[in-house]
Amino acid sequence: MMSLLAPLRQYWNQWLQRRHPRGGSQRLSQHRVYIFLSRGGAVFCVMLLALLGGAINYDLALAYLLVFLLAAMALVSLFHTFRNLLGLTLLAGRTQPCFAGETARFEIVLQNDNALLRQNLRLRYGEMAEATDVAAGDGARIWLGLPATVRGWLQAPRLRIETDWPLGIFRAWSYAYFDQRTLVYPRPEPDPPALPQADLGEGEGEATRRGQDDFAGLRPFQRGDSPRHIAWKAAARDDSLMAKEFHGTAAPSLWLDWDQLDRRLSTEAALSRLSAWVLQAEAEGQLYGLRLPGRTLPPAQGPDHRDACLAALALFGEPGSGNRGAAS
Amino acid sequence: MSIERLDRDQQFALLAVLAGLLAPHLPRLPLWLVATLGLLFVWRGWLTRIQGRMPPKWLLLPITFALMIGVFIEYRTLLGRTGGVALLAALVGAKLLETRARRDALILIYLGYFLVLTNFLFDQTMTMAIYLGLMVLLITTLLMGWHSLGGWTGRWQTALGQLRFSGVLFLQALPVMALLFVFFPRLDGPLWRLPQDRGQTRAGLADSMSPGSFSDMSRDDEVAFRVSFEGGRPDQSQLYWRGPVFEDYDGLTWTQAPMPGNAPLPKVEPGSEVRYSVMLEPHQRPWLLALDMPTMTPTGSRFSSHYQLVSPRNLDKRRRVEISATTRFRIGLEESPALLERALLLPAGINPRATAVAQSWRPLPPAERVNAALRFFGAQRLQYTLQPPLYGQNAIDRFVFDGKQGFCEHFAGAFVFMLRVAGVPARVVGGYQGGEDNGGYLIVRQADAHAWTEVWLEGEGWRRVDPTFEVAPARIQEGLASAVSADELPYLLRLDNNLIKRARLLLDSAVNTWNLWVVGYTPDRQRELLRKLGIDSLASGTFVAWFVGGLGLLVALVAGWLLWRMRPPRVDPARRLWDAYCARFARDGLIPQPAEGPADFSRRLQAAYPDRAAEVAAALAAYLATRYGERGSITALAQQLHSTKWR
Repeated sequence: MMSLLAPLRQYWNQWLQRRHPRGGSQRLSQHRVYIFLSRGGAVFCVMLLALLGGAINYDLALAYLLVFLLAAMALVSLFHTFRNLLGLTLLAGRTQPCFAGETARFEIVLQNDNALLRQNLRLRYGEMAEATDVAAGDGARIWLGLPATVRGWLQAPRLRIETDWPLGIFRAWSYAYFDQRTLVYPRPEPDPPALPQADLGEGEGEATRRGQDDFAGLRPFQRGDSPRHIAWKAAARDDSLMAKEFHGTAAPSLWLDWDQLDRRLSTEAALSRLSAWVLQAEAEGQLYGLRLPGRTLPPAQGPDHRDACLAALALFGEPGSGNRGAAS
Repeated sequence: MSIERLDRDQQFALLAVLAGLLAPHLPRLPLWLVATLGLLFVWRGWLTRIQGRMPPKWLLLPITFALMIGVFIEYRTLLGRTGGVALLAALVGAKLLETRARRDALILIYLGYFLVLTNFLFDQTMTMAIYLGLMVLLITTLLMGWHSLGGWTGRWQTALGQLRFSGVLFLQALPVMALLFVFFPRLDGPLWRLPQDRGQTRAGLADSMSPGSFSDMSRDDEVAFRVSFEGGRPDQSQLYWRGPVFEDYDGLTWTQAPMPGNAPLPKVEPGSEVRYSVMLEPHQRPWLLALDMPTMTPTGSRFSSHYQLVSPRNLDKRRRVEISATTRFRIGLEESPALLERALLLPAGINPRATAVAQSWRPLPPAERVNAALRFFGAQRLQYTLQPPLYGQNAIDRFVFDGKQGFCEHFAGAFVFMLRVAGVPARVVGGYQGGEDNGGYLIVRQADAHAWTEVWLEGEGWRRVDPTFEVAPARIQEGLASAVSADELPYLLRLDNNLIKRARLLLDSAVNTWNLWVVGYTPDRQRELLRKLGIDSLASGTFVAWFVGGLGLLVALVAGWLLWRMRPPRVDPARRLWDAYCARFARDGLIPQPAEGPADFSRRLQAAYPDRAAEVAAALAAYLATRYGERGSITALAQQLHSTKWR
């Protein structure tokens, strides 16, 4: 059964993608907003029929009036529901990387250029949904989560935006395909073995590095400096944060080396371990470098370096870094 | 905030609306059910207040079943107007305690719409319609509240905003509703009929007359029917609306003989015909209360051997009939001997004094005996009053000779009794007399109920004689209020309080329009109206054009209006100048990003054109000053932004 439906589903997806071309922003024009009776609306129709039966049977003019009033209100609500989405602009916002097994987050910006309060707009990736109102001439930001299962690039899947405001009788919806992707780092091994021993940096050919050996003076604190290098005494004297700078020819640096890992580990398990080690080394404030087949990141320290290492691990073995993950 | 949880204030509002919908039913429901419903509402309200958990299923199911069994024992049915309504009320009560999430609340809302309909089963008055219209508005507000984000707790602005918007929906729906109401094809007759569906008995003429039955009605200002005449209308003294005809007398009560056959319609003298339509309130009897005498039988009625227009079924709902009648007529010239014999029957040995007087008229010719009777009544100085004493045994003797106080039923009864003794076939006719003119139509109330007599004379047939007229002519010429003293009548029926009376008549006029165009819009009326629009059948192209075309036009109007209101908000002129300024840099790939304010973009520009950074900064300063600072420097801004030439 599923195999029979699969080509249909594929055809449907292709058709949708043609109608909603991938891009950074999407304006919900008239031919992109769909509307149909919702489940509540179907119940509402059944109720109207029952009321009409009562009106006919007991020949009650006021019951007829009630049925027609409700039907007319439903009809009018159709336009309100449709209008609630019409002309809205969706923009791809920022993304937040995560580790496999966690939830990646994508930001969607809603922009409302109309003099109209748009209510109860629900955005969803599959089961993950968030709802918001957007005031007239205003915008709103929504972070949508997406479960990340596989390391690598995670492309934002088809976004569905829907609303059944005001009466829940009709549901209007549309889709957006965004050029929006985020990195999924390899899942850190839960209980990794201890970090390898730091070597003394021989054979690296680097004469002078910023190291931890000799105190060389103070310089202004920069983002990325380890908190343990902050000159707290200096900070107490005046209000500026200073970092201690060290010079050393032989700062001990830690190499997280692919080739020195246990050979029995599978690729993913190895990446998991390296991922865990990167986090651990960063947490301990060590200088660490990462050596992967075909790629080397020299020892350094700080969130940017950590992210660069994790990104290298995430994209390991995928030079093209194709679309992987839960994208549908 | 969890979307599926109901807000506390919304829960209270739902309880209040459901209570408001059940309230009109309460007098009709058995006491035990009212008490149980009250308990369930209080229980649910308390649970809402303390945010407690709903009772478990094993407790709810028995409650529900017990309620259903109770309703069945009470009514022997779970369907129809009585059992069905009670069952619905019980189910609403039970469902209340099962309502946790939005989905359950939706079911309650839909049940609420059903409760609106069930109220119309019993009451289709304008007041009820207005009340229930407001209720529909409130239910719809709740429905909207549950499809909006956030709740109401502590946010009355939100609730009011939603109420306002549901009012907007309501108003936008009205034209479509009106069109559907006029054009939606109506079906004749019920789809199903339940034996319990008969309406309740209401005040009105009974098919028997005993002392007190008319004088009691005279204090009832409820409307019996309303009449609109086409063209002129007959004189007030000619307005006799014929109801039951009482032939049999047992010494106390006059009863109507069955109406087996049909009588021939009276012949119309040219120029004497009156055309009118009558809107009858349901009275649970078959009489159509036509003006004496109808000259045609409207569809769905027949002309009985008592010269009444009768319907095959009792009138259990409001009905409009178009009739033509004449006030100059002759009936019963060739009356059957059996019927005439019946019109002479009397129980033996009662009212000896009246019998003695009447027997003395026997030697006279029949027509003279009638005159003698009228003279006798005149000479007795009888008094017309709404509060006659109870006469008991030999009531006619004691009324005519001792008490001398009576209402129309006493006069008519005594008159017929004496004429029968004198050998003239006679009978009592019940109905209404007169009516109140309310600008274009006549209101006939229960208080206008009247009894008069008919006597049969050889060569003339049945002649109407109204003994009340002999005693109190004002009753017939001007109406009840001028014939009896004011303090005998209820306040609103008196002649003297003009302001209240006028307001009342104005209101009745609205009610009449309501009855005519809303409640009385029947399949017949629809056919009539459509014929005026040139539509002969509901299957014709003209009809489809009117219906579909009209609906399409209305829907297009609503849609067009809504989309017109979608236009973007007016952009501030300063903003427009700034946007135009920024657009110049687009060819260099510098485009303001959605998350980028003017200052951020300006910084990016300054970085991109270091040599002209000061100029760019000045442009930004001018824009910010105009837009967010003191107003009035739009021209300065325009000059500033246009002065620089970029390449």
